[in-house]
Amino acid sequence: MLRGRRTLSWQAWLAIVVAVVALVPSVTIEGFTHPLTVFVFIKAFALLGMLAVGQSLVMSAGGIDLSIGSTFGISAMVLAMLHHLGYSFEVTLFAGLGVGIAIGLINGLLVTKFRFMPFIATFAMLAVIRAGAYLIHYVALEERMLSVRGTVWTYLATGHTALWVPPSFLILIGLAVVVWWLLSRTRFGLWAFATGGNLNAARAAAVPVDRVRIITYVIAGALAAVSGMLNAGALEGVRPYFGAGMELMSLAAVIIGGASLAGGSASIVGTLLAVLLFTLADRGLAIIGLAPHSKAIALGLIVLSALIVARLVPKGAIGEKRVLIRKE
Amino acid sequence: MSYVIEMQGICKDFSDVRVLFSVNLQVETGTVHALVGENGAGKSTLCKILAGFFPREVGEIVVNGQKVGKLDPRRAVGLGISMIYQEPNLAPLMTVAENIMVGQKLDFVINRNQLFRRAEEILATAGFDVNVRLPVSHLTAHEKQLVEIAKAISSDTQVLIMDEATAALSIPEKEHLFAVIRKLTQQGIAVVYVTHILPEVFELADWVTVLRNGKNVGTRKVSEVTPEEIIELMVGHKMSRATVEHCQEESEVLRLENVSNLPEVRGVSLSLCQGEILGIGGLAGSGQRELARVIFGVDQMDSGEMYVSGEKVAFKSPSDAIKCGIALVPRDRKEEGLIPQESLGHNIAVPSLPTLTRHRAILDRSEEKAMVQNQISRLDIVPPISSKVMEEFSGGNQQKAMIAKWLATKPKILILDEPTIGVDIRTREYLYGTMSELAKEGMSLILMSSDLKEILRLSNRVLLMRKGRFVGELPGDTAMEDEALRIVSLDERE
Repeated sequence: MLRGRRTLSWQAWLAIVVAVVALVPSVTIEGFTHPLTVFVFIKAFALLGMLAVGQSLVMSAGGIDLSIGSTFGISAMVLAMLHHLGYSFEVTLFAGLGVGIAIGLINGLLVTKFRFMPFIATFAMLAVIRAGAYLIHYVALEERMLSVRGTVWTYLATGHTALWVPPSFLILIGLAVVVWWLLSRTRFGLWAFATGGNLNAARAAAVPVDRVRIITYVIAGALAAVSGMLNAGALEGVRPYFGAGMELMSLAAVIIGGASLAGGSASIVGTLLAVLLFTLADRGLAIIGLAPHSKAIALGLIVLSALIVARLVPKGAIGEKRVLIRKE
Repeated sequence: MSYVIEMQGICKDFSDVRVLFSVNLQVETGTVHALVGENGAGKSTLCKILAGFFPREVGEIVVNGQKVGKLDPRRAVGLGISMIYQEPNLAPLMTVAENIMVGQKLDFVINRNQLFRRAEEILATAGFDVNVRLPVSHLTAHEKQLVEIAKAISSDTQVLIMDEATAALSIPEKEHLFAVIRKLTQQGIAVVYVTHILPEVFELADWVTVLRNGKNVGTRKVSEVTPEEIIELMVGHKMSRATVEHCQEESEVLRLENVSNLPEVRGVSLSLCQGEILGIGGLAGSGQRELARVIFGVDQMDSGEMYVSGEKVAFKSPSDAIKCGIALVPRDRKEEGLIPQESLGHNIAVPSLPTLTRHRAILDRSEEKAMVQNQISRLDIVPPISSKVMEEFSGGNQQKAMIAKWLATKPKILILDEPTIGVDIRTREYLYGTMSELAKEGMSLILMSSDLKEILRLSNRVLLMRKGRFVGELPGDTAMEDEALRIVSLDERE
């Protein structure tokens, strides 16, 4: 694999933690394995998972995308607006995707052509797009809490497929496989890791570093938009604050999943395991009846301890160093 | 005679300061062309222009008889010009194979086994064998360099530019590298070899071009030139030796009694007088670096006692040592010394900030500026632009900035750990002169070096270290070099 043995053992370790976090409450907390709980859980997993997969891609190329939480929000507002103007599913799909792609493109251009630091550029976009979501809410929707229930989106988010999981879960798995393939089996993936690992080296090796980075932001934006619209399909009314804070959860998931903040590494499997960990913890805490704010504190502490452990466990642990050069 | 590269009238400015003045350079096919000059002479800049990393202001570049217009790294690689930079230019978490193959023409979908195989083939044609499946972060400096060469020559390279290639290599590694370079030239590749180590020029190169202050002051055939001629071209005048003044006043400023920090420092005692240069010599790894860190409070001693101006001290951190008037110029510019992305001015000001602030909080900007300018001119840092980012300075000027930074704290005791490693001859002479001046002004210096000739020449007294202990004391006299070498390299059982 691209990361050598670096993240492999870490991912195995993470998988064990996730298994424990999944098993303990299924035995101790009543109702944890109730089909409805599982269903809600899988849906939440799919939504955060899509954001985190996009974030992984951006971070593999050395970037960071804080704007995806707001992209998640504004895509839902656009969906609600168009739905109530009577447009079809296809139109809402392409419009929502278009918004995500456009935001990704702006992020990418800010980072590459205008040379802003990714953190700064996407942080600014986070604020601007969130304001855009509120603008649609107040001006276009006149503060009505519109719903998109009963549309294809509702089916995609909460419907039951033959496999007894919502389509949104299958969509996540499909998208994750595509991104994993892109990163580990294509020229683009090689270029992305090279860009994230050493920008100057990649540039010197004639890698089109600007194009690579722009594409990662565009894909992350599109994934966030899809996730945001699926979320809207599942709920009673679309609100402008949807997705607030999810950009940080996705970021934490990628880091706990084994990526380096310095770029040049990211693991889709690890990221999804971390998302699983968060979602399990979130559901478990909700079922034992913690109030939302207490739950937020508990969840924050879980993220923090996972990050501490992720730092303590030596990710680069490798056996003895082999002789690399055989001299003539 | 066919030239693969002809550069004519190349000029380059950095923030309005001209660093290259109409430089010409012609590189013959299949030869090694050494580019020598002091730090800051413009060698790296010229190479980076050729590799398309910097744009040129004026000048023409002709590759294989074809004029080329604007260059960028992609275009340069396309023309067959590759550069191996001073800084490692690999992605550390990617495997060797991925690092090599990333610059290749690849299909969109990658077959990983094929990727590894092709990387192995490329390494084999260059004549070496590295495990291509390991991440680059597990390689030694030399191995990384071989990977960089493989990466560079894998794309139909005609010209390979190498900047200070042997800086981090041991002697056998250096010989291996030279063998690789010779093999490349046999394949018709021209190598532009940047260095300031003259013996390497005579060992490796066919041609040598000397740059001084951004000008080409001469291109010679190596077989028709002597080292003395090259040095004269480099410095522009005959060499003069810095004179060493002996310590006159016997007032003690620092005393160590049986100081240990096991296992590197074992029961060391010394006394340092005001205005004295005390040399501490020994082979690399004899404990000099660790001793310096103990005196400066970076590491704490296990046992022993230390007195500064007669008062007993126990430093818990470098800030305690700084308060007592001690400064340490560490060996490693990149790791311990400078903040590469910050400006020269800020780098110099950092340790002096406490004395530059009023009411413990507000920085006195004008005083900072004056202090920085003062240090820049005192150490003759080139270019003297305090706002220029540290990493854009040449190695020798970075070294001067390190010393400036600690001189600015007005120390009574200045410890210098290998201050002339990777520094060209003229900067070295300049630093020697500065050290003598400082001692004359009453500062006490401790000079740690594995270059015995250097410390014998500069110091009033030399203590020799072996395996963490002092094993001998000699007067500062270059005539004692054989004796010093015998003492430091003695075997334990003798």
